[in-house]
This record gives sequence, C-alpha cells and structure tokens, in this order.
Amino acid sequence: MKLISVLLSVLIHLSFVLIYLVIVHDKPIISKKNQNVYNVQLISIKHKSAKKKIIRSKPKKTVTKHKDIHRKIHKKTAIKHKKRENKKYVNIKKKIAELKKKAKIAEKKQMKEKVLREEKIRQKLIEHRIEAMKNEIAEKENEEKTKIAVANYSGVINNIIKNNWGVEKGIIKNKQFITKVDIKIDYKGNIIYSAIEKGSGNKYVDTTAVSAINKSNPLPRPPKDILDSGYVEFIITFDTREKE
Amino acid sequence: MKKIIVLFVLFLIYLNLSAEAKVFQITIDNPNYKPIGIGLWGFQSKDKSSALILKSTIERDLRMSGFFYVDKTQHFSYDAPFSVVCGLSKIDNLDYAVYGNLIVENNDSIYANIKLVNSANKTLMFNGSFYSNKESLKWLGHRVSDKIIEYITGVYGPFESKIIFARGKGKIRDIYACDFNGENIERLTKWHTMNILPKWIDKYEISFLSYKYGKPSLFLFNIRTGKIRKLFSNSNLSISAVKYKNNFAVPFSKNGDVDIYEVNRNGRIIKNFTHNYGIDVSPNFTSDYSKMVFVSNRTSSPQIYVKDLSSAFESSIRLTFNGKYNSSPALSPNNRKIAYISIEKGKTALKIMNIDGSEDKTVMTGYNLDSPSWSYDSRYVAIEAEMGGVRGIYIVNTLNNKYFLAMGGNGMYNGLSVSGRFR
Repeated sequence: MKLISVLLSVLIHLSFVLIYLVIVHDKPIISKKNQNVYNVQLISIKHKSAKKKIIRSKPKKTVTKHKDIHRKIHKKTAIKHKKRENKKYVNIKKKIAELKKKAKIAEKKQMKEKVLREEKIRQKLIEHRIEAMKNEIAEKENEEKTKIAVANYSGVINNIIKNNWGVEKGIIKNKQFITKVDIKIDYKGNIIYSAIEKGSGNKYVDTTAVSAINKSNPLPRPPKDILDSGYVEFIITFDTREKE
Repeated sequence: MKKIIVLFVLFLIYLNLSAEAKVFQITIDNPNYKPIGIGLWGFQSKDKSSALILKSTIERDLRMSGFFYVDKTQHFSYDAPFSVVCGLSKIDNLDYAVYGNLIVENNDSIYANIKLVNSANKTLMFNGSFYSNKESLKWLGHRVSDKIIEYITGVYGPFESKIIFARGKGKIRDIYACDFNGENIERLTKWHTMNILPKWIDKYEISFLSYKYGKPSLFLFNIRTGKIRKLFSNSNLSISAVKYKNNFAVPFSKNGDVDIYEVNRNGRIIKNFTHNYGIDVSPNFTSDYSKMVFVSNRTSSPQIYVKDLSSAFESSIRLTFNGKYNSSPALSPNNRKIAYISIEKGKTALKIMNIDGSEDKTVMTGYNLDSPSWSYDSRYVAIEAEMGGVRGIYIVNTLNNKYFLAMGGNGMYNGLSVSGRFR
C-alpha cells in the first residue's frame, strides 16, 4: 500500500514536473512576443501540437487505477492550458493583425510621404532648371551684346589704325611680315599701354605698326559692356600680306 | 604691418582680376603705301658750309634711294633733350629723325657725330661718329646715308660706289667717273677720240673700248695709278671686256661668226665659251664663274641665254621669250637677278627676271634705255635713259620701281658700269 502511495506520489510529482517542463518550455514562446511576429507564432504552434501528442500518448502508457483521476486532472489542466493557449493564440493573432494594420498604415504613410517628397524634389528640380535656363539665356544675351559691342568697336578702331598704317612696300617686297601689338584702352579711349607682343623679325615693319598705334591715339570711347576693370585690351595683328 | 599685408592681398586680388581680363583680337592687313618720313635736321657746326654740304649729300642720297621723303625743317636747338626731338618728329608725322654735329679740325679733319632717332618707338637707333678729311666730305655723307638706310631698311645702302660712264659729242667720247648719286664727276680720259663701253674689272681697274689708234681696241686702265694698257685689238666690233677669273671674256669674230672667248692679260686667246654659228655677245658671269649669261641671235632675234660652264657639253638655255629684241643682260652681285633691256614698239624697257628666267617684270619704260648695271646691294640699277626729254644716268630702285636722275647733261652716253663698295 505504501509502495502504491509512494508510486502515486512519484507519478504525481512526475506529472507536475512534466507540466512544469511544459510551462517552462512554453515560456520562451511568450517571451518572444516582442520579436518578429510571424516567426514566433508559427514555431510555437507547431511545437504545441507536437507536445499535445506527447501529452496524449503519455497517459496511454500509464494505465492504472489512478489513471482516471490523473487523466481528469490532466484533461482539466490540458483544457485550461488549451484555453489559455487559444486565448494567447487569438491575442497574438489579433496583435499580429493589428501590427499588420499598423504596418500597412505606416507603409501607406511612408509611401505618401515618399510621393510628396519626390514631388517636392521634382518641383525644386524644375524650378532650378527654369532658373538655370533663365540665367543661361541672360548670359547668352549679355554675351551677344558684348560680342556686338566688341565687333562694332573693333571695326571702328580697325579702320582708324589701318588708315594710319603705312608701309614702304619696296622694303617688304612680297614678303609677309606679322607684328602683334598689345594695347590697352581706357574708358575715355586713351591708349594707356602699347607694346609689341610678337615682332615680325623686320624692325621697319614693327616700327610702322607702333607708329600706326601712336598716330591713332586717342581712340573713340569703348562701350561700357566691353570694359573690364575700366579698360579694354586688344591684340592687334598687323599683316603685310595683301589680301584680295 | 597689418596694413602692409592687407595692401599686399589687395594687390594680389587686383593682379588676379587683371589677369582674367578679356583680350580681343583684331587683324589689319593690306597696308597702305607710305614712304618713310625722315627728318634731316642738319648738323651743328662752326663750319656751316661743311655742315650744309654734308646735309645736302645725305638728303640727295636718301631721296635717290626711293624709300624716303625728307623733311628738312629744323624746329629745335641741337641741345634739345631726346624726348623733345622725338615729340617734334612725331608732330611732323615723321618716322625717323637724323641730326648731330660736325667738328672741323685744322680746316681739314672732319668728325661727324650722327644720331638717328626712331620717333615711333622713341628710341635712339644709332649714335655714332664718322671721320674723314674735308676733301672726302661728300663721301662721308654717303657713308652716313648708307648707315641710315641699313638701320631702317635692314640692308646697307648703295652710295659708297662709283659709276664709270662714257659721254661725249660727235666722234669724241670720254670715260668719266662719278659717285653713285651722280656727284663728284671726274674725267678719266682726254684722248679726243671715241672711248666707250667702260666696265669695272677690279677695285681700281676698268676696261673700255677706244678708237685711239683708229681700230677699235680694248684697254685696261688703272684709275689709281693712271696706267693704261692695251688688252686686245683683234676685233672690229664695239665690244667690252669683262672679268673671268684672272682673265677676260671678250666676244669677237674669229671664223666668220661672233663667239665669246677667254683672253688673258696679254691678249692671248685661251679658249672659247661658245661655239655657235650665231652672234654671241655681252657675257656676264656669276661670282663663282659657274654660269654665264649672254646674248645670242641663234634663234634669229637677239635673246638672253644662260650657260652652265661646269658642263662639258653645250648647255645654253634660253631665258627670254617675250619681245623680239632682248639684250644688255646684267647679273646682280647676289647672282639672283638679271636686268636687261627689251625693245617693244619703239620703246625700250628695263626688265628684271630671276636667273632661271622666272618672275620677268618691267621696272622702267622710256627711250634709249641701255647698259644697266647693278649696285653692290643688288637693289638698284644704274642705267642710261632718256626720261621726260632728259638724257642721263638714272638710278632705279628695283624694289618699288622708283627712279631718279643721278646725272643729266647734253651729249651721248655709251655704256656705264657700277663699282663694288669702296670702303
């Protein structure tokens, strides 16, 4: 009798140990709630179903007179446990759904924000491009203006200097001599600087070029558009070649 | 210290800005023709007549060069600063100005200090002294002129040379010598016969044809020593002798037709340069005696030919094809150009072509053009001509075709020759 009672107590203890083990084994599943929802749930469900089988199979093996009581107790605990598990499962599902909803909402929000941001960037880009184009057009217009001003002024001073440039052609014969003279003209048209940048190799021809520059001083006032720091610089090429 | 640093930084910024300034380009071509304006403002001297002679010689030379117009107006004191001289010449629209002073010592020795100013560049191009005796004052003037021409045009002037020429009336012609600008005329022969076709043989030796002994004979005359020597009298032609190495080239008729022969100083024939049945005359040699330019009528009319003397075979090439009568060729001292006379429609023309016959151009047209002779700088030709009714010797600038009368006068001219440079 004593032996039976001892055995019963051992069994009871074992069952408690088992329950305890089951509970302890489940704990990590619950503790993983905060982690990735999908992974936790799927693993725990599979694991429990496997445990259920084990739990069911175990009472079959222990067929005794006290088995019924134990089964009842076990059933009750199992049911309770199932209910709890179900509740937990439902809660988790709900939470997952909520989280999914939240995620979807967040995603939608993010998408909307993205779209808005992109829109803004696009608008900014377009604005930037328009401004750049405007600047380009303005620059081109300015360049055109300067070009026209330079062309007009160059034509004027070309005529003046050319009229003052004379060469005794007997000395140069049919040879080509090129003299480059660097001149700076101030806003009043005065030649404030002149120097031979590249001589022709013939002193006489170089002298005629310098003489032509000197005789042309002062020149007409240069247009403001072409002035840089109050003066404009020209390199005048004197070419003795006679072009048709 | 801070101020200095700030100023330095500002200066650097200024430099940077100035470096970035735009530079525009202009090209001017087809220059106008303009003679060189030169102010000849005289020479300060106690001996005013000498100063005037020097000034007039330089003026004559510069005008005759054909490159300059000469302004003689004197605006300034000789002691005026250099900048004032430059400014004045600029006002007068002159490119250059020449001035200086003349010192006469013992009424014989002359020192001329000459300054050449470039008014465009405001530079003193030349500041040098020349020395001479009073007798050679005009020659000193030629030296100054040649120096000025060299400084401005890049080539030494032609005026330190002499022209010998034959001039006279009726049956009397004599040989004369004058400076290249026609001054200082000296009579070399006084034989009252026909003395014509003078040629410079050497620095002090000339040859000419004379009828002194009735028959035409070639003579050699040393103008320094006055020695005269008969060279050759086997020709009945009016010909002249030209130098060929240490001997002479003389055209004459030996076997019926006229060929050009080499003759030594004793009148002995060494060899003949041409072997043609036509008349070959007027030989001219390049300075290395490798080529001979001459006139031949082998193709019916007188034309100019060139012969390569280094070839053993007959290698004459005809150079002239325009005009029926082309004669009197003269080779330039640089061996590049041939000046010759072409007769077209009753008028004579001075023409110039390259030694290969290319770039044939007319330089001067007039009446009785004859005996062209080059100056030592190969830019001028002295020629007998009658221009605008004035007969005489003209100096032609072959670069711009301008010509000037060097010496005119009544009488006939029969040949001239220009010497090399007398130093």
